[in-house]
Amino acid sequence: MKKILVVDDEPDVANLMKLFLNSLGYDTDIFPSCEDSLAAVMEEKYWAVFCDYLMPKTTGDKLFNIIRSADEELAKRFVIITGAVLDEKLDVFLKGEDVKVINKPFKLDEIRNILMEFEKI
Amino acid sequence: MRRTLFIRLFIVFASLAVLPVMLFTIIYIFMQERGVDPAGMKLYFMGFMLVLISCSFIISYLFALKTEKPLKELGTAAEIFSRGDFEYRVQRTEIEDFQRVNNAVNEMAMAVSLLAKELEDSKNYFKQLYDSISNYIIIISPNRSIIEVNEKFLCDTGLEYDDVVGKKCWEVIHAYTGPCEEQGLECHLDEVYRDGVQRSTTHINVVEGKKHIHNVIYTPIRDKKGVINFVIEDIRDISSIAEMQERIKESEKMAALGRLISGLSHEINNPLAIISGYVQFASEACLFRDEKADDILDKIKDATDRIGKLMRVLMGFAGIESVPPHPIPINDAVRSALSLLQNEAHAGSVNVAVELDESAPSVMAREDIIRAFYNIAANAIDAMSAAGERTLTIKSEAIGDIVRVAFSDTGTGVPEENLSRLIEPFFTTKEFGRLGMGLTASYSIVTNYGGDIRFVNKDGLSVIITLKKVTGQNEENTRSR
Repeated sequence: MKKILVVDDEPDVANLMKLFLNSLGYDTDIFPSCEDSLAAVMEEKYWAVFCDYLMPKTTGDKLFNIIRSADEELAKRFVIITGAVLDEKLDVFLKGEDVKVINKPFKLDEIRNILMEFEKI
Repeated sequence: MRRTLFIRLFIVFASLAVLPVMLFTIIYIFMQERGVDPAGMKLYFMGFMLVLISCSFIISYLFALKTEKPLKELGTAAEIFSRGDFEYRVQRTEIEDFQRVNNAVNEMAMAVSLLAKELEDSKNYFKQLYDSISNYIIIISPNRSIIEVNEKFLCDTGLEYDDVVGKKCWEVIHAYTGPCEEQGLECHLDEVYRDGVQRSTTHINVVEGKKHIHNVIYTPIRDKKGVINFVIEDIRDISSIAEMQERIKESEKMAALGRLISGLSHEINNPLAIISGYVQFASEACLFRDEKADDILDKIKDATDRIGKLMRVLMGFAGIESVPPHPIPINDAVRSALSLLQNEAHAGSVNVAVELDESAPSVMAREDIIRAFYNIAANAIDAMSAAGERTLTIKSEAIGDIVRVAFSDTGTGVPEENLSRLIEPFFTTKEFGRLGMGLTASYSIVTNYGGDIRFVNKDGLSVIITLKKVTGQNEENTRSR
């Protein structure tokens, strides 16, 4: 079973993602912060990542950079979830990287469509 | 001249001939007393007189002949000097006394010439000085007549020197028919003449439809006794500075609004994502297997969608551009802009007629396109404040590869020559009211997305926006983000 990493400081959002992804047949690990997820990223073989952008003490782009240096294939299936915050760094990050973005509140179909695209990679 | 001189000289010499007559008379009487008959002398005397008068005539003529030229030359010199040409020099003469006079006159002319040159240089220096000043410099006398003006003022206003100098300040500067007090305005010039304190004020003038913001400084100029002889009015066009300040103010305001909405949206979007996500999951997973429950879930879903859209509209309105351009249904953008203007339209008693082509597609933009529509609609509502019939009509239609949206009002329209200037910063058709930045911002937003704005006079003003509709390729790219 393909394993997906979900990082979001909102436990309810993370649990919703886990619930939905499990229903689609993916095994899902959830973490409340990038730091907490780092050990798992090194140990586990994840197939895709859904990461909140703005979290306490860190932002999603940092996790992306760590993952890209560790596993380029996984970096191709990296999704930023954002509450559409005003952040110049996010703007620069999105312009510079081929990363998919989902805005909160999102449709479950958006996640489904992205996963279908990832399946084609 | 020669004739006059001759007559005068002859009279002088002839008068001198009286002396021998008197001498002869004395001798004649003396001889008679001595018993000598002086009858023979009479003939000599007559002959002597004739010779004397002839000599007088000849001497007078010769003298007049000799002095005529230097005198004439002096007369010519005096005439030339009187015309202000002090470079002329009196020509040399053989008569020594006349030459002394000529030398004195020439020295005087040289001295005056130097003084005149210094005066001219000084005048030119001051003229160059205030002509090179980029502000308008106007010197005004106590009776409010303009006594001097610099080239910059004449150049920018297209007025001639004589159209300004000698005229009253209120006539030239404000185009009033009487003093400022008669127009119900205070006159700073009078105040400066009264207490001698420099003053500054700001005037907003509308010239050919464009607002010009002028800073005016009134500086009193005193003589050695401290009496104010005139006041210098230094007028500086600060429109570009004001425009910059307005832009900074606007961007600061938008940045603050952006930060507020951004923080707010983050706090709202998270719980909204939870509600919306769980509702979708419950609905998809058919957790309740109940028609009523499904209906309730749909209602919650719709409500969360509405809140989500509203948040995106607010973010777009605040100019938050962290989201890349994406397909926005043109009709939704129009409706969102109008929803923000409901109160303004109601307060202005404006009927809003919406004729949207439901087949109109999406355009590639961010939510700030709503702000562009908002500004145009707000401007139209403002333009109808004095109109009897107040209707704002908004039409959308798809034409080939483009989408056209037209905002038409029933106001007085804009003169044809000013239509192309509506997008200029500070351009306004009203002396008071909005600063004239709304259409500039709208133009900037629309052109940023490859669109265009046209203005047409048709029973009021129509603002026609054209934007490229989203192509399949664009849509695909956006979806893949």
